Amino acid sequence: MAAAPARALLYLAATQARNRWRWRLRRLREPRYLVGALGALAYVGWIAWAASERPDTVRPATLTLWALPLLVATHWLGRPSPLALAFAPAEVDLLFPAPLTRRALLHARLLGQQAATFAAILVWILLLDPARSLGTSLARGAGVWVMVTAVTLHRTGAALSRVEIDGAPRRMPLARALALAWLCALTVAMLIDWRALGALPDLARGPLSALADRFAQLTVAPRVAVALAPVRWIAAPVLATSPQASLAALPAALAVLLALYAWVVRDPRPFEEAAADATRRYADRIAAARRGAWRSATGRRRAPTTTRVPLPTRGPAALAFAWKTLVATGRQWALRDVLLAALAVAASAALVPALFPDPDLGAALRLPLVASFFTAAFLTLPSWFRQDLRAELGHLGFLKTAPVPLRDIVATQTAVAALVASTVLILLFGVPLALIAADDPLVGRLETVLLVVEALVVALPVVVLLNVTVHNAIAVVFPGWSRVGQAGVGGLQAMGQAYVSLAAVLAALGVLLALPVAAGAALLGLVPAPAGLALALPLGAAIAVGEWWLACTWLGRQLDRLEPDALPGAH
Amino acid sequence: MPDAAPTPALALRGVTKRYGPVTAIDALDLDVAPGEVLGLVGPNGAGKTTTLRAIAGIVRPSAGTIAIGGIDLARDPVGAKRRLAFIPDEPHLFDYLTVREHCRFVARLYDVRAPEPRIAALLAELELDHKGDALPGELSRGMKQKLAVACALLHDPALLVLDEPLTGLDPIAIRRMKSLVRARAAAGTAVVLSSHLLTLVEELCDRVLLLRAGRPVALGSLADLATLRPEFAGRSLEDVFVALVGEGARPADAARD
Repeated sequence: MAAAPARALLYLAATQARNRWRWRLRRLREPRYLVGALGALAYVGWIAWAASERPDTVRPATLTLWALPLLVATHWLGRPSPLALAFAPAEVDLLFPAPLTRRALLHARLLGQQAATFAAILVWILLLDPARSLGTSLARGAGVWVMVTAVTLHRTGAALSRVEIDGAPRRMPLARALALAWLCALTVAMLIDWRALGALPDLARGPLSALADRFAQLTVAPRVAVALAPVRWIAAPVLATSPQASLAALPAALAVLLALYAWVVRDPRPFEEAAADATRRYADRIAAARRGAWRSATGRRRAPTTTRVPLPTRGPAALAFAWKTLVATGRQWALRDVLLAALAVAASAALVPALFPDPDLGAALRLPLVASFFTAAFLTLPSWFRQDLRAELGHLGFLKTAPVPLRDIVATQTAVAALVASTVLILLFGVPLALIAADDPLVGRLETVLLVVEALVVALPVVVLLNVTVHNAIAVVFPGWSRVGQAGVGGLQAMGQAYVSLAAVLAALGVLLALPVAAGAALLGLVPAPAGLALALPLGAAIAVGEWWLACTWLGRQLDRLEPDALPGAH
Repeated sequence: MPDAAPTPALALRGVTKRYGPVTAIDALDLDVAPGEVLGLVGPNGAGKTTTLRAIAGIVRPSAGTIAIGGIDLARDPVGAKRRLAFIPDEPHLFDYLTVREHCRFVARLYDVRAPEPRIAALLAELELDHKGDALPGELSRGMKQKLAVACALLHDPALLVLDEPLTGLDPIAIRRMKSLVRARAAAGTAVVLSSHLLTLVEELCDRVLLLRAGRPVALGSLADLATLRPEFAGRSLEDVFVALVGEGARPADAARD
């Protein structure tokens, strides 16, 4: 690379890194970022403490050795991800028309990726691996750098080899043929060595443990060991058990890395157009993810633009918002995906007992497993599914000028979102929960199942409604804490903001649920279960709906006071 | 011996761009002389932005050649791009470079000698000098556009390519942008700009290229266009545009023109 462009690109990388840190430190003067940073530090500190308390377990060498071939397979066999070739939009606008060679452009991109890689490794060394000595951490850090950079280079090289020109598919490039041949050889070696190893070892510990042991055996089996050699060279510095062994393994890993580098920056075929397109698609995906449009965010084919849900020509004006939200949801969330996920959850709930030699232990673990899935889904769904009031905040002017009371808009948007989220949760967990309830010998099968159904149909939608309303309230009352459409605010503070927001949501939800739960409990005191429970749920739900309506009225007033400039991303 | 024809600042020969079955630009021939201002107009989807992005080297033509100052963009992209500046319709800037650092970065990229006085003068000319230490996130849409212009002019390009240059600018900034384009053209810079503002094109451009569905419908000065049909005499560019590429246009007209 010529001296002037090289100096310019180094200047760009260094100045951007310096300014990014300066800006992040400067914004700590704002309380919300300071609180976010403190929240993040508390979280990371807890993780570090937990890591230091944990015994030094065997590192997942088997996982690493098998994950790398899987990554190679996705780079060559999967649909090319826009991330592989995406530049920053500013790089497309300012570097692509500049007098830079393609090789220089590639160096600019690789340089940009290195900043993120180094930051991740630094965090890992300082926070997640604190119990080890500095020498061990540095050696491991160097190993991780080699491995991550090799994977990044491989992904970039594979994407460059697969660049289509004028939309015409390319004849199979040599590199792809070689990679596919290696993957085939590895598969054949696996099959032969698997057979040679005989029956699964130690099946008494469960089929999953037996499988893990078998894959560990395979990594040193004669044919697979040969096929896995390039992967082992790359991973050896990370998997080494001492700093000396890690350093000794570095030259071979660096040699593979250099070979990959030479392959990537060889005279590349014209990639500018594909890179500009990938940049645009990647930016679109990020923006879509931030507004909860998951079909667009995952790069899926657009849903049909016709809808089977007609908008009634008469009726309350707020109904139009409900219709719009339902249509948008249908275009961004595929029912097929939800049903597939439901099938997976039901299958895992049904299979868990079979995985354990002791059926009682397996059955006992089924409830915690489903409950943890359910809790995670309940807590995170409002962050994933944003087709509610938050999706409309970008059109605040339209909301405020629409001839509909803002309270009604808030109520409609949260109610429709809660309806959708509840339906998803019921589809995902209805069958496993009913299965577990049917096994419960305490109350009697039919009563328990009926109670579960009542809880899913009556209590769950109301709790989800309150959850969604709290998330929307934070977006309206504390817009700076909402990440709707927000760009360029990453980092530790944003991560901390997310955790602090989640804590605030849980606290608010606790406050809102206190009265309904107290009323339900009081009724249970008067009428014993199961009849009392059957009555307590509707009572609690009715009180919660009343609270929601009051919250909508209050949020409508807050929305009226909210100005577009206060929203994230407004300049 | 006759004088050799001056090398055009921009020459397109048979430039075609296909996206699968869709042809975005169809065999476009075009010469732009130094100091000339050419306006690219056409309805949405006519191929204006694709043409400009092909000239900027972002999009690769499926066929044909593009030469900037006589240098083939495909054969010597670095040499050709050294003479070019491109300002997209929506300027994307580096989030963590200040206004002045953007200029310094671009100056290094183009190897501009002694750039600081030039940067200071450009920022003053574009009224950005008081924002020298601001990050793009602290700038308005118009200021970002001005910064993109400053970056584009730093290396005195022989060819300035502007995609919708007036989007988001206030009336004062629009006037300044127009004077700037005129001044650059007077200094010998060839300018190619696309715009939906036909009055701007009429006011600024020496010649106009009308595109429809990737094909040139008409090319020439407003006076030249007036000779295409008797009824065009004395009419505005908007009238000519509507007649040639608007709803009333017949396909045969376009083919004939």
